[in-house]
Amino acid sequence: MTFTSFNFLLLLPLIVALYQIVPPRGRSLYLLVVSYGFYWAWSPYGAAALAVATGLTFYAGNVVGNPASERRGRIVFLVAIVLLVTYLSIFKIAAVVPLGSFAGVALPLGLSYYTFKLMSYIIDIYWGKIKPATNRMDFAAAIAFFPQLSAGPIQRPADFLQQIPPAQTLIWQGLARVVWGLAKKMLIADSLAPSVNYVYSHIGARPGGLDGAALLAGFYLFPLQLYADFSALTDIALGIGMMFGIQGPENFNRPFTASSISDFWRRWHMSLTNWLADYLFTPLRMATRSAGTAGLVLSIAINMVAIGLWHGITWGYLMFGLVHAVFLIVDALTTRNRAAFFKAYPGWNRLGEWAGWVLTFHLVLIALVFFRAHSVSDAAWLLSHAWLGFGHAKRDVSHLLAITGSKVLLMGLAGYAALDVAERFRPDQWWWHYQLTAPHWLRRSMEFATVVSVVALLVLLTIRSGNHASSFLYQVF
Amino acid sequence: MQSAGNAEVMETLTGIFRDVFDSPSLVLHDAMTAADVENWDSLNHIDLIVAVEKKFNVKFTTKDVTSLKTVGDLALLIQKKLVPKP
Amino acid sequence: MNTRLGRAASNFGLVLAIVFGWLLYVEAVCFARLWSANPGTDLIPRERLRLVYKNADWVDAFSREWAPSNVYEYKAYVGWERKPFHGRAINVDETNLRFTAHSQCGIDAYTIWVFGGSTVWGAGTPDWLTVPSQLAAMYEESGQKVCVRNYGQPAWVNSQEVVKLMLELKNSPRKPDLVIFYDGPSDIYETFQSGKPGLHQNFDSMAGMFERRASTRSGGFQYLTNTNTARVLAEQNKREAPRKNTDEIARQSISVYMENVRFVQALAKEYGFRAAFFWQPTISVSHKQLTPVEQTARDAARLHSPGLEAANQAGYALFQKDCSAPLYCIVDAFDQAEGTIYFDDAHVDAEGNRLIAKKMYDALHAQSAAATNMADTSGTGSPTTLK
Repeated sequence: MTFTSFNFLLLLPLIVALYQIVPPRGRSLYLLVVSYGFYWAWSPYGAAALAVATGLTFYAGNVVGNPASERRGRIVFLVAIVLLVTYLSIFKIAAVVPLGSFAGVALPLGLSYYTFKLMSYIIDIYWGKIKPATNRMDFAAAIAFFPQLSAGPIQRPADFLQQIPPAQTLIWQGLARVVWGLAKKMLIADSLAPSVNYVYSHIGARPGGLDGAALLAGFYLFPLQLYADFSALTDIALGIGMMFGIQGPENFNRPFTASSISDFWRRWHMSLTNWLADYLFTPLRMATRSAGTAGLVLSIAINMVAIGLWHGITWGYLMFGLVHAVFLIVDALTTRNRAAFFKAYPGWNRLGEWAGWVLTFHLVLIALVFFRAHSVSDAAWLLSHAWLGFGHAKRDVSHLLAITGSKVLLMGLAGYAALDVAERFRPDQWWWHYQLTAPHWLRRSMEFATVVSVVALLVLLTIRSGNHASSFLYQVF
Repeated sequence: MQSAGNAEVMETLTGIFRDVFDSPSLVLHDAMTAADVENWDSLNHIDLIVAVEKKFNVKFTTKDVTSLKTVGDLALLIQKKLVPKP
Repeated sequence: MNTRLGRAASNFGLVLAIVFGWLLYVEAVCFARLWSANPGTDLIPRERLRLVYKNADWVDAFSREWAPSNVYEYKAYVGWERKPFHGRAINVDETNLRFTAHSQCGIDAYTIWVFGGSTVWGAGTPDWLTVPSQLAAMYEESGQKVCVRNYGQPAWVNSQEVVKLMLELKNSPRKPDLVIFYDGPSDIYETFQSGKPGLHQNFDSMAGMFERRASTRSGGFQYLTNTNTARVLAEQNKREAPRKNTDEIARQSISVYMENVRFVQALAKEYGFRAAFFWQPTISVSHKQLTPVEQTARDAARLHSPGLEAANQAGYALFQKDCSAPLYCIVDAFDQAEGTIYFDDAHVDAEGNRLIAKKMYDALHAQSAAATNMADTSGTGSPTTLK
């Protein structure tokens, strides 16, 4: 069930409204029931699988966290991790390789997200960072929490459980955040999608294949589309969470302003990269720390390949991971040299910062071509044919305009800037910092404005969902 | 292997931090976290750990390292490792 | 309300209030959904018109008049016809027929009636650029006076056209010399949409409307099925109904059509007119080199109605098995054309209409000229005199 699906829009207000009446003690049970209700509507088998995985992990957590039986705990921990990784991998692999009778089994909704939550829980217990959860229902609610089900963010169960029982709900703030996300999705991501899809389906030397400026447009527009789409998903998930009194982790921090690749990964899909940093990269580094540079290189490579393959077991995602591994390795190995250089020549600082930003931006965009293209050969073709020199540019541009319309290109050009400005000021957030001191009439006007925006967006959405499905990009992981 | 008081540990740590993070004027305090220090991230976190291990001649496990939240935790951990085993 | 009972009661009341408020919200959202799904307004968006016609001076008038003129009234036996409308680009007279240019309906004019759906009516073109108007212009240019009437009505299938012909033969003071039928996509779509051949489009929703109103015998809660919520629910559940097999759809649509042809031929013999049956080129079956705009339209259609393209191809294959008069296969009419002709799968612009009219003219004018000559020289009762 997507966030823009008609039925979801219909049900959500009822669920949020009834939640207000439920006493705080009963709220996690309410969330559990609603979350499993949504999951059941998608697939009863999937819901059963989720419940089993949750139950087994809860039981394992109790054993691992029991200080009396350390040896038994270690064995149970290993078994649990192996089982969870296998469970995740089987479905990921089955999506690309027919595995006998497993072929055609759909990827369980939110598989990548909830298995990561479960693994985080058991590993944290094993490391002694947290104590096992005391309440089965609360734990199950943390894992199945429906706003985060289909596309994250990946909230650590410990973090969720600390907020139970959620006494205070932030309806207006949550609503504002949801509106913000929906606006991003509909005004930017959906406007760009047809053009991006067109470019990426028409790459190559085939008849009707695109060349030059048209490919360049795809190169620059896809990242904006992806970012608008995915960050919108996160906004909606976090906004809905807020309406239930649950604060979730952020996923994005103005990623296109990153000054280096390592900085980029501290700003993009943060809940995933933090998860991998804590549970994959750090243990890897500890294990390889005596191997010096080679250890660092290996750890980075494995970590980035994992990020790539987490999205799916395809050559494209693998290349995406490998490309970023190379970028990040170069970045990590040259950090000291760069710092030394700019210390010695401080006059170059401004230029260096600017160059770093431009370079990082383009490296990210290059890697994203592999992420989006239908095949690695398509990606290679696009990268090698996107710039055919000025001679061709006029013809390519007019060809492109015929397909996409000039509105889309303008949106692309303006989109990056507009999003960045908007995110610097976060209209949905800054208001709430000042609203406590605002006069009564202003507060009521803002609430009214929020409601009006919600209604307007809902109307727009019902029109769209009536005509064609507007699906999110990150919901297939 | 001698046990060290907290002040000594913090002093040595300050030296290590200043070196690893290339920050000659850095001052440590117990509640300090990675967020408070520029350049401190997961990429060079282990460089710090390796340097600490070398300097204090101790060995950490992954479990030790992942439970660390603040500089104070690190200092305590080092002190624990330095206590001679019976 | 401090007692346990009091609190429970107020909570219960609150829950009821919330649920009721929610039902109102759902009703409002369903209303928005149904209201926005009105197909007529989307059909030819202004941008598409401008893309095709550039800046012809009537484009604005047409865009303004398109939606307001897109209203229908109930008509006995055929279901619906366009309401009268008077504008610059669109004119529908009091007999519900669109104005046809270059038509001279004097006493001895050769009378041509053109039946069809929105493609004959002229969705996307002003009055003077519809197929009947351009056909009339071609006759006029060759020196022959013709009285052409545009009997096209949007969404009509061939059976409705035949019923209209029957009614007109009975009631009209003027009898036709030539009756042209221009069909294809609607007839296949009707079977595709409802799964039942031989009906008209939107049969299920109209039947539903009628039957909901008809049950007024005793008290009941039937009116609830009239709510927007109920209608959206019904629409969602209907989507899961299994689709008929492509060959079945094609076979059944063609079977209905051919029976109509036979029937019209009988009328033609009895009433002394000539009948000609054309099937229109559509994107599904055309071999034209599609421009990017047309490709987008084709892709959108594929997305919106999966399986329809295959049904169209199968149906046309059956129709084109025999292309001898009175059947005419002009599906290749646009094959050599460059530039954008199609607005969507079936509707075309003025240039497309011109090409169609040309095909019709080439196929038919020789005989119409001969018929007129015969009428002039014979001196006795001729097909064009009033009966």
